Amino acid sequence: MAQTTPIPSCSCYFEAQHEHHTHPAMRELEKCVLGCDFGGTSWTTKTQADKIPAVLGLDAETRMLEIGAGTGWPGIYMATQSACDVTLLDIPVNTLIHAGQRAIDEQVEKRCRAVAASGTALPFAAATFDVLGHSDVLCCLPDKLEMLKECRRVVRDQGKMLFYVIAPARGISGSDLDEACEVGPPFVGVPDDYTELLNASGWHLLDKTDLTEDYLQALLRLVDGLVTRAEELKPVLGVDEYSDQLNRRRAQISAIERRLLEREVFLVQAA
Amino acid sequence: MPPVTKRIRKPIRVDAVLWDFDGTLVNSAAKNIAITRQILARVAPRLTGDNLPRSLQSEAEYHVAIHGTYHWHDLYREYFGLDSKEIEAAGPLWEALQLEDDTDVPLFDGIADTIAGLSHIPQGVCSANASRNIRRVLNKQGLESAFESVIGYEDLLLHQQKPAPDGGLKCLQDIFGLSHENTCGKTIVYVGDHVADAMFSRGLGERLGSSNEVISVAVTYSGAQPEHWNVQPDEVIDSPSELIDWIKN
Repeated sequence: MAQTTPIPSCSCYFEAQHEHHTHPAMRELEKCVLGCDFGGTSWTTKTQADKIPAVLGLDAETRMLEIGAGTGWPGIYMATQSACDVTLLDIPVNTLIHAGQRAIDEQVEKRCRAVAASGTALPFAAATFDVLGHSDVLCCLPDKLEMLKECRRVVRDQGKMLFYVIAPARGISGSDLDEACEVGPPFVGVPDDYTELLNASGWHLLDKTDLTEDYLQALLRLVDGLVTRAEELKPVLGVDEYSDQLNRRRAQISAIERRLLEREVFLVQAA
Repeated sequence: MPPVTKRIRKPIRVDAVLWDFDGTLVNSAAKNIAITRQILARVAPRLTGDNLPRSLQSEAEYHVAIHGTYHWHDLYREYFGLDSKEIEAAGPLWEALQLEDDTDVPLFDGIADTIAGLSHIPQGVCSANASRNIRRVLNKQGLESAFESVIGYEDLLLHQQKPAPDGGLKCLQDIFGLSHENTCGKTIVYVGDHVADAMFSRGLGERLGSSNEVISVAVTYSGAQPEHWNVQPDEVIDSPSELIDWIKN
């Protein structure tokens, strides 16, 4: 049986991120960048999330698992839009507590539950869920194939999964690849193409869409927001973190503009 | 509220026996105590060691606590002493720890014989536990084949969990191969140890309609005191063998 093995470094990283992202000033910023204020840490915009219910066929009979659910974006939003059941899974318990409160605020607490576990060791029986979703999670995990296999195990046959992921642009190498890995999310590098990983884990690719331009625009809005709200945000983040974040986001923008990083959404079906 | 339970029973013809799992078929107190202690170590370390709640110091005390509350939030607050923030943090931890913990989960005395004695009647399990946990325990006890259906929490939507009767309907559909609209003239016994089980039975009866009968049986051998429940069972048994005597008669 798979054992749940939290990844301490990731957990701490997201825990710290979460504390910042739930501050009112950061949530205002998030609203400008993504169009929502859940305190989320992915790059999924409201416009993108609005398409998910139709793409996954969500309704009141659907059981959805959201991996890396954080404070509930977009999982809780899915419950509000489609009345589906959502299991919110993440490692830091504090984020799940906030998600639980948000579910109450959105009046979908009876359709949402929180589970603290790693995406690579899901504590569920085989074929428990109808659909799965995750946003910018695989690029933050070292064990991508293991997570995709676990996702396949817990979804019913023919069940669908929709996920967003940031990756180095295909075909780059050498210093370009090094730079993409340096400025991207913690485990942005992928040994093979995601299509290969999906094939190796029992998934069939239905559709793939390049969202790099949306990602770039969101980052530009974030940098603009960080600059224009500097006085408000520096006390929240701390001067050093503020400065680091601004520099990191600018480096990401530069990398995207030179096509070193890309963000895609994959729609796949259990083979 | 005076109990309406009957101790002198008329023999009945039964078409299916459905069982609750924890506290009814199996004594999961030791495992639940072990998991809860792990949870406390993470979310309320002030309640570990010498300060371990009394309800976690013995199975007997645990049974009193579990039967003294309706919702797990109440159990954690009233018997374990957690505050609301600690309770919020405890909830998401249960799932993974339950799978990791390998504390033995024994059948209650007499359960194996009772299940064997009722083998001429279809039997199923409807529980709020995970069906893969249930199957694992039943398999270990050599009993998995005795049950035609095992419905755990993951087989149901969140709003369908007990005390909602949907798990029972699903279980009966597995057993009879009929939707509840087409189930007619059946007598079903549901055996459980908690007021939620009595509520579940009542709801199941309502959903199945008046052409069927659902008899709620409360067990006391795991510490329940059904006389205090606000929804009363139809029958109370103190040992599993009473069930087989009653149905065999």
